[in-house]
Amino acid sequence: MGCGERITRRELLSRLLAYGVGASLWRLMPAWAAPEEGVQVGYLAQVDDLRARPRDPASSEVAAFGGLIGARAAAEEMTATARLLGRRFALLAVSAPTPEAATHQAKRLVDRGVRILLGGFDFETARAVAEFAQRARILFFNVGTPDGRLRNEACSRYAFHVEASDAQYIDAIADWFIRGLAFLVDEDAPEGVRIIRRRPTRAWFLVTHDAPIWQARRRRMQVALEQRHWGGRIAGDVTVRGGVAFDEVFRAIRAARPDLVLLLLPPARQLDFYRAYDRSGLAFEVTGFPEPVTQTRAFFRALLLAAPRVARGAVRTVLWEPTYKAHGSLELSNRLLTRWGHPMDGPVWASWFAVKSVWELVLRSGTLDPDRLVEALEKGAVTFDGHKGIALTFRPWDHQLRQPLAMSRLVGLSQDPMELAEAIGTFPNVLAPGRDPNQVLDQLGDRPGETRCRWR
Amino acid sequence: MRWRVCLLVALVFLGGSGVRAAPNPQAVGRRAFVSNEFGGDITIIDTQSDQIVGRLVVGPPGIARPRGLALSPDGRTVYVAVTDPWPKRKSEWEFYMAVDVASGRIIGKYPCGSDPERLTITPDGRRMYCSNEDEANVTAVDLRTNRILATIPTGIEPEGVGVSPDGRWVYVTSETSHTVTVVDTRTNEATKHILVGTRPRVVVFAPDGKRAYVSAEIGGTLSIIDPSRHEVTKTITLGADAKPVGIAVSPDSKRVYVVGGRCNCVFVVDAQADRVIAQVKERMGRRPWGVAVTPDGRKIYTANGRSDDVTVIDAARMSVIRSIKAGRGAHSIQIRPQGDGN
Repeated sequence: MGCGERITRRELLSRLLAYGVGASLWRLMPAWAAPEEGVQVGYLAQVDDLRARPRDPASSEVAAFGGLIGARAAAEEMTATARLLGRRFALLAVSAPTPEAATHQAKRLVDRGVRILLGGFDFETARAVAEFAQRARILFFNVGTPDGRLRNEACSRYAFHVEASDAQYIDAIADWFIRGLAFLVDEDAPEGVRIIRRRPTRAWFLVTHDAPIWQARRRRMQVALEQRHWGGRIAGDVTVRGGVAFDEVFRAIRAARPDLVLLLLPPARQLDFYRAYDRSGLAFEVTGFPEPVTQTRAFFRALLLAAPRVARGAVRTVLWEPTYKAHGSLELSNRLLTRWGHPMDGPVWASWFAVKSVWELVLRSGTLDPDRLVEALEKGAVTFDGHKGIALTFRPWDHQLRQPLAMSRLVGLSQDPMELAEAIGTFPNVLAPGRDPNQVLDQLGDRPGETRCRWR
Repeated sequence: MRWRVCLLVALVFLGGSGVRAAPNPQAVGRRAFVSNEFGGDITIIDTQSDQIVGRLVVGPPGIARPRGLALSPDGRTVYVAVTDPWPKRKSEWEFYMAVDVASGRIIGKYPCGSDPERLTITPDGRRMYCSNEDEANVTAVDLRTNRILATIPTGIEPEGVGVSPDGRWVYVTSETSHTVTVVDTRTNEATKHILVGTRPRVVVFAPDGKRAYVSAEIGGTLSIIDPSRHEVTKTITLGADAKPVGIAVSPDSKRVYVVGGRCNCVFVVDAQADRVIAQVKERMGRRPWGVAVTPDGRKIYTANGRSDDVTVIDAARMSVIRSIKAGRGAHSIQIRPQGDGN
């Protein structure tokens, strides 16, 4: 059962069925028009089956299923909170595995009184829902697509992005590997922090898929290395087509002798690369672009199985690492694991946070009017707590959530999903005093002058 | 090595470093107690001389984590929340304990929920209320019979617990829900839930009972609650980079001191004007988390988790007087309400 060893299939099924019943009952509820009555949120789950855990560890469905768990976990907590305050909160999760299905389901949800939508685990789906949201004048929170186009040429006034952007991930990768030294807040360490030392990465070798989005990420990586995170240089840069063997790439890597090989490849191709690289005998360090599914324990396990020599000790960038201990994060991760039998990985956290934030946005702003909600988010009038140790807000210029990112180090195969990897860092440092949180967090991602977003 | 719950009173002899050899540890005059989360012990400071006069060993460093503290109304007993570093694992280091200050003996050990962190003792000294973070509730314990009287639902991730001076109300903060739960101690039922700032941590009542104060770590605010109506009457912004946690109110209820864990500072709030009148920054320790005021209101002490020390502040001049080395990970601090011994 992959990551679900802590509960049985029967238990998981019964919990999800219970939510299915809840969802059916919800359909009988009247729409709530005023914030004092409550808020209804629609979750567009990009899975064929709301109850079956997907099996392909490189499939985006694994991330989407995790997102569904995160959304339901938050809904459970926010429903309880709403009840305490005499309000109501409801989440309706529906299966929407394609862009067409997502648009169709979004319309049905809005017809039933849903005021805010969440979802998006690929660019086409996220863009389709964002465009629908724009037409319907409702808010959409993207929880699973880092694709930079959604924050630039395809940006939408009513779309906000909890999932980190390409640019944020790339800046975090560049900074972490170039720095070579990091302080990890670890309350169990003798001094309260662990010092993570590693050889600074100077020579980078990029292996990039030939699709436009991956080439765009390659160009952003070049910007990160050449203009923002000085000290790194590109020692090799090859583009590969899908399905082609990596022999030529390995020869080029051997000749370049890089400090790090960065894979700008889709998840399944990253797995292919690791598997072949493990057999090649090459020993240069490898990491990959953190598409949401690559942040899951299922993918980590697949990496360790495919490339036991190379993957062990590999460092991966993530939105959330469930073994991280500071800021109450471990308590949150353990709460989710205990209740849902699933580790709180990046995709789970994104949806958990999005659902929680939607509730808090409506509660704090006292409105369901979409334009006033957009205004509140753009002005930073409502700040959010994601258990990341710092106040989180959305950027007004591209609607991207400002947030720290984490680094996971793969430890080795284990039956316990929590033991597959460990936290070894977060970036930026949110504990440094004397700086505005927005200023700290804007070290990651595109700045106002760099965005190509023009609101329609 | 198998560790047991052991409690020792250890003399600290620090001659030659400016710190005097400790007086008789049995003498319990004006004392501050500082829990050291990672050191597994409690530092005892004489607040007249600002010397360390003793150390209560709670358990093995890194395993037994003393965090929240409360004193009995007569100041003779210190209550300690003890937990371990493993939220998922059951261990012997998850309990609340009562320590007789004079002898250093454990005189009580109490059940609560998992992951004990913060607590309060009612003014009559008969009950303890402790928050159970994982279980979204607060437990009321009869200290004489060691019996759980009630388990009361709160918001998600309850943390800070405060009791009104008349003992009628217990307030409990919940970090994920951003709420304060009002518990009527006569019925041990939650009567109301109040929305406060983002990620509320600590709640403290003013000694005159007319107000309660709640710090919001991520919101960077201090909420003022009127206990007669259980409503927020004002929210003071301390700053997004402040990370306020610990709160102490002066004995005359006119000043509120809030420590900022990120700004490494103490905010001084005028409780009549409801505004920040000073911010103590110079010579402050790192990540102040706990704060307490002496019974005469003249000195303020902060427990600093990153610098492992206690900062002493002159309340009149609003400036740091000195730093006292504490143990690893100073977390909370309590000062005996009475000036003289038993």
